[in-house]
Amino acid sequence: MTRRKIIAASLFFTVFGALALMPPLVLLARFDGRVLGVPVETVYVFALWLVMVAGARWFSRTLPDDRPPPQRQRDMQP
Amino acid sequence: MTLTVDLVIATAVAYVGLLFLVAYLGDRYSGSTEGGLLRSPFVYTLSISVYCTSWTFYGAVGSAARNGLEFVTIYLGPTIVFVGWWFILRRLVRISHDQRITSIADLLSSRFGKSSRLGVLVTLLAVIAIAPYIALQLKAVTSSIEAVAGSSEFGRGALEGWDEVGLALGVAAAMAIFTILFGTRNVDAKEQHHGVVAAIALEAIVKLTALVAVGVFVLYAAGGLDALFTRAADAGLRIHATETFGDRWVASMVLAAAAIICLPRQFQVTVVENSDESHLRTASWAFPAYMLAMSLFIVPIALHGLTTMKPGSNPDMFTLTLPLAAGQDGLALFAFIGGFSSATSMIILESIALSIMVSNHIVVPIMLRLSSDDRGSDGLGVRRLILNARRLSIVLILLLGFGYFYLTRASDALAPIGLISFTGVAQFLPAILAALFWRDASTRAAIAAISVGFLIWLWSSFLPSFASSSPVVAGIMAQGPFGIEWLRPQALFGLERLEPLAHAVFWSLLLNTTVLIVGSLVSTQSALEHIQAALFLNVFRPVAGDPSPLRGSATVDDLFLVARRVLGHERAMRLFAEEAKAAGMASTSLEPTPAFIHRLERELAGSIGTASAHVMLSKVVSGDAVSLEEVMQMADETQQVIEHSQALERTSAQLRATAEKLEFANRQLREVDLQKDEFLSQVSHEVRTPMTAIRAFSEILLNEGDLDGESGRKFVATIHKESLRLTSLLDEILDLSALERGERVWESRPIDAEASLDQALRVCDALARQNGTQIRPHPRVAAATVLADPDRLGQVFINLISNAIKHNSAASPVVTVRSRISGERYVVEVADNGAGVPEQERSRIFDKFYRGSLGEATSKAGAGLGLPISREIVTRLNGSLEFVPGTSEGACFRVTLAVHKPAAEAV
Amino acid sequence: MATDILIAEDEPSILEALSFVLLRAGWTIESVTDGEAVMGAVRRERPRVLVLDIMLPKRSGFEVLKQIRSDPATSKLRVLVLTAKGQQQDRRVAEELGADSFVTKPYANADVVSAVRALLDEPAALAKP
Repeated sequence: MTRRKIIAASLFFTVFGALALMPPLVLLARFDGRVLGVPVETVYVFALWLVMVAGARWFSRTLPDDRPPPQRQRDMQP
Repeated sequence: MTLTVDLVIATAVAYVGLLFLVAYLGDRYSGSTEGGLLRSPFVYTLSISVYCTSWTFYGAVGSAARNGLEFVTIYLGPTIVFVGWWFILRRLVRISHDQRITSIADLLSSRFGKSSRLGVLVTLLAVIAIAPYIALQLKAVTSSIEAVAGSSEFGRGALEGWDEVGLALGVAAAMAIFTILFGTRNVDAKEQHHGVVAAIALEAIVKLTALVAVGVFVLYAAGGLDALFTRAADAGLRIHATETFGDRWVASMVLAAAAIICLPRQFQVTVVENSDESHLRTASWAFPAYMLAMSLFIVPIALHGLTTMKPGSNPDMFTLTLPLAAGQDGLALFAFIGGFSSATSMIILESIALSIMVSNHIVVPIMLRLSSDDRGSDGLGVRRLILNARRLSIVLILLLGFGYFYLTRASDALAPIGLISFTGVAQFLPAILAALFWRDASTRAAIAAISVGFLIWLWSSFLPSFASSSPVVAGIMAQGPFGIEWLRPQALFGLERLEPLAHAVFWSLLLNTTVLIVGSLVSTQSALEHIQAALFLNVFRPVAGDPSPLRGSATVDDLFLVARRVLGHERAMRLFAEEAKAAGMASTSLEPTPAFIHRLERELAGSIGTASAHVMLSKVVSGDAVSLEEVMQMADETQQVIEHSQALERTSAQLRATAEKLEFANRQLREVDLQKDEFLSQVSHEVRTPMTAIRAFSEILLNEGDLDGESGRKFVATIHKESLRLTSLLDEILDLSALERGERVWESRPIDAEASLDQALRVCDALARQNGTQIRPHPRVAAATVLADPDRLGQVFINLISNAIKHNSAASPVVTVRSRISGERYVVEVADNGAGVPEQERSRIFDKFYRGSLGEATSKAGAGLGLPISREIVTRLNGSLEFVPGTSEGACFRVTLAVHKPAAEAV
Repeated sequence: MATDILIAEDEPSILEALSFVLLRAGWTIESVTDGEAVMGAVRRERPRVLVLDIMLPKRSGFEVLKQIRSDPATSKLRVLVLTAKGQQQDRRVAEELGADSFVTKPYANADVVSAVRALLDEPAALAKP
């Protein structure tokens, strides 16, 4: 993927993550059911949360490195 | 082990001592290699976890017990912001590094034209908005101690005689002392907090471990997840059946997302304390993971508490009371320390962040205004003042928190208090987003927007929290102020359908954003705003050099004095020495370049905020009055580059033109020089020739005594003739120079030009016959009246005709004289059938003494002044004398004069 | 009889005066009044000295001098140059071109005579009639 596509992917991942956590999408998980005794909606929210953490971890390694030259660091060190 | 209040307090004090030690060691080793861990991305992530306060530790459980899943929104909002770190946080961090931003107020003030007013506004509002949040921590700590005391069979111990309010006050005072000792040892916000960050990171580990420990204990006690949820369902606890995913869900998610950016302490740890941008990369997943871990056991703890604890017990304290009830005193103490930990870390960081804002945006500007000129004063004064200001503001902030706690102590739930603060600080979000993404957002609009949003927050969110303790407020909420129903705090403009939190968030952010957008559209930016906006927007674009709005001259001594006052002697010395080293000169001869002044401004901004640094430097940098155009030019980078290249182009074009002009002038000068030389040598030649003859003959007459009379007479005649020639030459030269200087005046009157022409023809008749030249005087007009002097006009005609005769080398020479009237002009042409004038000589035939290559060939040629004189005369008659090119053979000269109209004279 | 002196001068008055003075000094003379005529006269008359004006019509004295020096038959001819312009520039150019002697206008008749005499290698005393 090109740099621009990775950044775009990151944006859409964030946006869709947010959308999936809000009504109306989140309402899809709102039915009576248990996973290991835990209600489905709770499982859904936490699973999605975990997916976002995993995705963020992937993106944190994939997104381009564009740090500025470490010139400011010198100013901060005594 | 039995848990007593005394033990709890002793443990808390010991814990604080541990934190002190960690902070001290952190400060000490932050610069060395052992401090490497302190600057690791995980310490950074853990310090961000200061977001999880005692609200999380205690309040989230209470919230889950009351409202089900809703509490996760508080963590999902920040999760989204961090997952999308590339788009907002990265920008914030980069800008803040570049601009040496010290706080959220500094950020907004800096972007909006270094506006002091905006800085003051944001600071004040932040202090007010945070008060409930501080109160929440005080309440949580107080409640947790009360919970221990209430369950203890040994009574209140050392707390005997202390009620809840006194306890809260004591906690607040202890926190104030603690924070002052921690956070106000040095001035520069950038440098001082490694120790604090280390302590905060430790606290993050403690509170997570404590909560997880309680969670594991609960799962163990309940016999697993399945059993726990089944028992809860059996008990009729349908916490999942409530309207979880409604407007409140969305509102609190938005609020939490805003809060992770706008909360002063979050800005402090995420942005200001960030020492390396790549740390943000790690935090982007590690911080959400931390929050996930914190939230994992909230629901089980809440459900277990609801099913096992006796009805009426405070669900906010389940984390602590569940282990207590089970007799797990060790775990309970750990839980207490966890909760205490989350409260202290929040209070420490929040009050440090707020105190920096207060001192930089309120105290320092006031001080600068009061002391108009105290540059000579003690260099330590400013620093001491700043430190004292920070200490004072820490006390003030905790007092405000306590005040809020005191006024709202009747309300029992923790979570709603936190949301009130969130809604307050969320009012900064539109301005921050505009700062990052919208170039045209203006200062006045930002001030108005934040004010409007904040007023609505005060009315619809802050005020209602006093309802339980104030009948007046309760009345306003029920009937509206003075009975105005549409102003009811929780049903503004008649909007009753929304749940109170969503209502406040909706109205405040909507109006806030609207005012910001519309205000920016209708107002204009100042030059400085324009510059700062460009700097913020172009933060990721490489720039050749920072344009500094502060330009002008300042002495190094002045700058050093300012730097020393703010940074302290040592740091100022180091800064100047570094700069001198970089410039390769002694620090005494350091030149205060604009770049250096700019750097100094950023360094100062790191200590006292952008606006104050600007004001302070403006005082010593004279000539700061940069013209508006200049500033505007600097502002827009693209514009600047374009203009620069255009200017370059213009300059080079100008240079080219100038060079051409110079070259041309030089050529002309050389030509004039040559002509002058030629003129002089011509005059010399013209004078010498008759002189030579005169001298030669007079010598003969003098020396030769035996001359016959005939010869003698002839020689005398020659001498006479040559002297006449000399005289006429001098006359001509004088005549011409007088004509050229415009000295010779004559009376022009209406005359018949044809008569003058006839006269000239008669004069030249003899010469023509002598040369065997035929003169053809036709076609001619009968008469032509012109305004002229007859003698002068005749002189011109004679000159032209005689020239035509003398320079005609044809075998059968013919000179044609024509005249005509065309329109209002009288034209005379004198042409010959000779060799003509060669192309390259035409431009010079009117030059003085110029006789042309052919003219030199004839001994009859005059001095070469006839044509210049004639042209001068004709010009003075408002006519023209020109050589007519294009005739096939011979030369042709044309005289053009205006025909005189008697009527015109009458007018 | 061979001509002693050829005069190339366009100003009639000056030519007349020169002729008179040089005749009086006892030499035979011929004269031309423009540059083009000089070479022919030199070949025809074989003068011992050429008195050459610089400001000659049709062909300047410089050109004439150059032609004389480049022709083996005439290259040994003694040339006295009359410079009316009298400037250093003209004199230097004439020297370059091989002029033997100079007289600057307006001159004293005696200067011309002695200059011509020097070129003719005649002691002044003997030349006196």
